[in-house]
Amino acid sequence: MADPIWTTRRQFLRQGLTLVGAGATVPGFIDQTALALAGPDGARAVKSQPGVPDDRILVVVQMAGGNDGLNTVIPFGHDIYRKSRPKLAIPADEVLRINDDLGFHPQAAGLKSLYDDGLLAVVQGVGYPNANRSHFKSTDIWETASPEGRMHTGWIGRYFDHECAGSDPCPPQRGVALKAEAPLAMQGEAFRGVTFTNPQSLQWRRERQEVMFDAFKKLGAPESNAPMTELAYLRRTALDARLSATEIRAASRGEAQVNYPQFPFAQALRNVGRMIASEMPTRIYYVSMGGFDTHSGQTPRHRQLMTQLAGSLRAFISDLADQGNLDRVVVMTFSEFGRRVTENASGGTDHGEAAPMFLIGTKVAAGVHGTHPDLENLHRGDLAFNLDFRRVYASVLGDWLEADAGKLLGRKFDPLKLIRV
Amino acid sequence: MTKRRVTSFGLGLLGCFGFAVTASAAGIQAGDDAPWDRRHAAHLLARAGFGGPPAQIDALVELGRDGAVGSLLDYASTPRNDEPYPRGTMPARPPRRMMAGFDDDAKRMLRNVYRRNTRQHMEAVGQWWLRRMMITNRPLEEKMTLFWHGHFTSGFREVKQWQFMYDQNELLREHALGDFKTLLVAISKDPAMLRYLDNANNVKRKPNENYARELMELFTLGEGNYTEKDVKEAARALTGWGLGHDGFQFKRRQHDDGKKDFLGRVGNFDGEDIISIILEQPAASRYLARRLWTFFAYRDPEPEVVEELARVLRDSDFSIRAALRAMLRSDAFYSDRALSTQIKSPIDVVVGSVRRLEIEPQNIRGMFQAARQMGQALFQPPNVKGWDGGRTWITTNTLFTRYNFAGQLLEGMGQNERNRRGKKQAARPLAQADAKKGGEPGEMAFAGPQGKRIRAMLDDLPDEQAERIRTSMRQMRPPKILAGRQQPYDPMPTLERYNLETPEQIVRHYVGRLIQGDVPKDKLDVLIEVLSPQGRPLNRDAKQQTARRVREMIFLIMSMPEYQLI
Repeated sequence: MADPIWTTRRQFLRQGLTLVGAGATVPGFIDQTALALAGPDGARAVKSQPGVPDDRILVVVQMAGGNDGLNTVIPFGHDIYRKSRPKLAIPADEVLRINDDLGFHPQAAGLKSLYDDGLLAVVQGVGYPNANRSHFKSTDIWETASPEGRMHTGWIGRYFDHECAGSDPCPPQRGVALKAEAPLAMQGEAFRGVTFTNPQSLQWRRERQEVMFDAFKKLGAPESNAPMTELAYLRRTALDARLSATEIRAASRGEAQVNYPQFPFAQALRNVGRMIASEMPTRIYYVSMGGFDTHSGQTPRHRQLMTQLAGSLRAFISDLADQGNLDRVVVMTFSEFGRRVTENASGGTDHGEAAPMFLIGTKVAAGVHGTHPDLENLHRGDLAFNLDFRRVYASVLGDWLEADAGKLLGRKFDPLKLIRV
Repeated sequence: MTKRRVTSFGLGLLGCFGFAVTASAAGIQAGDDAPWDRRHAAHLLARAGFGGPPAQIDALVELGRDGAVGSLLDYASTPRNDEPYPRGTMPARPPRRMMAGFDDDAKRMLRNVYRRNTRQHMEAVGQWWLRRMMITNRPLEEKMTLFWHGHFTSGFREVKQWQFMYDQNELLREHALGDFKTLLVAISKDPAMLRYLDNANNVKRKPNENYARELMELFTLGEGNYTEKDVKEAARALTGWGLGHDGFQFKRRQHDDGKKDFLGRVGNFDGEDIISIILEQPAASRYLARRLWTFFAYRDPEPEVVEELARVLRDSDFSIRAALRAMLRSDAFYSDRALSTQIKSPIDVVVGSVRRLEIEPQNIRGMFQAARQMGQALFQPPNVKGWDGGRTWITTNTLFTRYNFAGQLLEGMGQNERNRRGKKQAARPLAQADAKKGGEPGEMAFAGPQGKRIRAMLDDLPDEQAERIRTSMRQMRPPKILAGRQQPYDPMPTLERYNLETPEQIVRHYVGRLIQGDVPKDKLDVLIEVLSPQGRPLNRDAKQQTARRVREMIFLIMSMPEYQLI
C-alpha cells in the first residue's frame, strides 16, 4: 500500500498535487496543471527557502464557548473588578503579574513564561460592533469575519480561494482542522480543507488491510481526462481524502522530542507539531478547545481550562523551538465572545462581549497591545470592545501570510502592528 | 432479521390516480413506448423514496412506469406503519408559578433540567423520524417531508421548543402532496416558523421583515421577482400573525390593516391576501417547479422543463401531487441527465443503505449521529436556505465518514444495552420504555448532580408545589429510541434466497442491489478477487468466514464513488 506521496513541502508548494511516480492514478486535470506549473522536469522547479512566505504557518486556536477574558488577563487592582466578582475575582497576590495593572490567571504559568520569553502578544478588548451573544451566531461572525452577515464563506477559506485562483482549488491539505466538524472559517467557495479529530481515524482498520486497500484504490481510481461530472468529482475527492489521510497519518506517527500534557487539546497540538516537523504542505492549522462556557461553578472549571490552555501552548512552542521551526509559525487564539463582568448567582458568568486575543511566535511583536476595556463604562453590562478583530486578522493575513487582507476581509482594516518581520 | 419491515408499499392503488394532468409540450412529455426496466424503477425508487431491495424494484417494474409512479404517489390508503411520537406537553422552560419561592440558583438548576430534557426530546424526535424513513411503506411521503424540511426550514437551535419542531414536521407530512397554497398559509402560521423567522415579533408599530422577505426570496418567488418595497408591504400585511399560549394567534391590535401596495396591487391586504397575490405571479410556479426538479431530478433544468412543470402547477391550482406525477412520469426524469447524476444526501446514504440491504435498524442513534457527521442534522438545517446539497455534501472528511458508516453498518455499531442483571436488552420500539422501567417515573429527568440537588430541594417545598414539579418531570422524560447494538450484517439468508453460488453471482447480486447503473467488468473483477483470491471457491460450510468475506466485498462496493450517486 505504498501510496504516491510528495516527499516534501517544497516539492508540493505551488504545484498542487504533483504525485511523484503516481502513474495511472493521477487524474488528468491535476496531472496537467501540476506539470504545467512545475515546469518540464515535473518536480523540483519550485524555489522555497526559510524566511519566504511559502514557509510561513499560521495556527489558529479556537477557545469554544466564550472564554472569560477578564479572568484570563486580569485587571487585578481594579475596584470594580473585585466588586463585580465577589466569588470569582482572582486575589491580587495570586495573579501572575504582567505589569502594575494586569496579570495572567494563576494557572496560566505557560502563558506567563511565553510572555517573559518575549514570544507572546496580548491584544486587549477585541470584539466587533453590535455584539451577538449567541454562541453560534457569534462564532459564525468570527469565522466569516463578517459581523454584517454579508459574507458566507470563512476567512481562511477565502484566503485559499484567492491563493489558488484558477482552474483548481488549493489541495485540501493546505488547511487542516483538528476538530469534529469542519470549521466554517475553513470553507471557501472552492476550498475545502481537511478535518479530523484523530489522524488514526483516517485509517482503515481492517483485516487483510493490504488486499482491501489495494482493491479500494482500484475501485475509486479516477479516469484521466474525464469531464467534471459528479462521478469525476467524487473520484477526485476520494483521491484527495486518501492521499491526505496517508500523509497526515504518516506525519503524526513521529515522536515528539518534547513532552506534551495528556489533555486532548495538547494532543491535538502535538499532532500539529508532528505535521509541521514532517514538512506537510499545510499553511494554516485550526485547533479547537472547548468547555469555556462557564455559566456555573466557574472557579474550578476555569482553573482547569487555564491549566490546559497555557500548558498545551507552552509545550507546543517548545516543540517547535526544538524542531527549529518556531520562526515559521504564528499562533493566534480567539473565542466567540468574552463573559459578563458581574458574576451570576451560580458562581459563573454569562455571555459577554470583548475579550483578549493572544498571538505567539518569534515574529510576533510581543507585549500588550491596545487598552483594557473600560470597567466603568460597560456596554449592556459587558466590556465594550475597542478593537475590531478584523484588524488582528488584517495583520495576520497581510503581514504574516502576505495576502491582500483588504480584499479577503471585504474592506480595508488598519492592521495592528502585531508581526515584526 | 424480522420480516416485519420487508414489505411492498401501496401497490394496490392503481385505480385511483386522482385527476389526470397531462404534460403535453416538449419539456416533460411522457412517451407511450418509453423504456421501463429495473434501472428506471430503481431510479424512481431512489429519488421518490430512499431506494429499496430487489423485490421492491421488481414489483415496480411489473407495474409499468405510470403504475409505479402511482403506487408511490397515492399512498394515502396505505396505512401508516409506525406510531407517532409521544408528544406530551412539556414546555421548554419551567412555568413561573412552579418556581415560586425558588432562589436564583434553584431556578437556574430547574431551567437547566428543562433545557437538557428538551434537547434529548429533540434528538429522540430526530431519531424517530430517521427510523420512520427506514421502515415506512410510504417512502415518498417521507422524501417529500424531507424536501419541505429543506424548503421551509426551521432549526431547533433557534426555535428552542421541540414540540414546535415536531408539529412542523407533522404539518409538512400532512400537506406533503397537497396544494401549495394551503401549505403556505399553514406554514406561515406554524409556531416553529413564526419563531424561526421572527414573525412572532412582527407588529404594527415595529414591523419585522424577516419572514416577509424569506417568504418571497426562498419560499415562493426567488430573488429579483419583488422589490424592497414589496418586502415592507408584505411585512405590514403579516403583522399580528403571532404566537399565543396555544400556538398561532392573530393579534388584531398588532395588525396593520391599512392600505398596502404590493406587487402592483393595492388594498387592505392581510397575510392570506399576500400569499394569494404571490401565487398569481408567474415566477411563483416557475420557482417551485425549479426547486422540485432540482431536488428530485437534476440541477439547472432546461427552461422548457421548468415552464412545463410550472404550467402543471398553475393548471392544477398548485397541486403538488399533480406536479410530482407529471415529473416522475416524464421522459426527462429518466434521461441521461437524471440517471445516477445526483450525489446522495447523508439521509439518502443512511436510510438508503438500510433499505437496500434490508437491514433491521437497531442503532438508530448511531445512524442519526452518522448523518449529522456527514453534514445533515435533521431539525437543524445550517441556515434558512436549507441544505445546498450536491457537491457540497462531499469533503475529504465527510467521505471518510461515509466509508466509516458503511463499515459500522456492516460490522456492527454501538454498545450492547444491558439491563440491571447484565442481560442484553433487545432494542425496544418507541414509547414502551417508560412504563417498563422500575422506580419513580420521570426519575431520569432528575439525573446527574443538578437533579440530585433538585430532589433535595423538593423535600423542602410545600407538598403541592413539589407535586407539580414531579408531575411535570414525569411528562418530561424522553422515550428511549432504539440505541441497541447494530449486529453485523448477515449475508447468508440472501445468498440462500437468491441461490447465489459462485463469487461472480454474489458480486453481481450486491452490485446490482447497491449501485444503479453499470459497473465495468474490470471493477467487478476486483470485487470477485477480494471475495475469492486467485479464483478459490468459497467454502460455504465455513459460514462465518464466508459471511465476513462477503461483508468486506460489500464494504468495498459501498466505498466506491458510484455508491455515492443515485
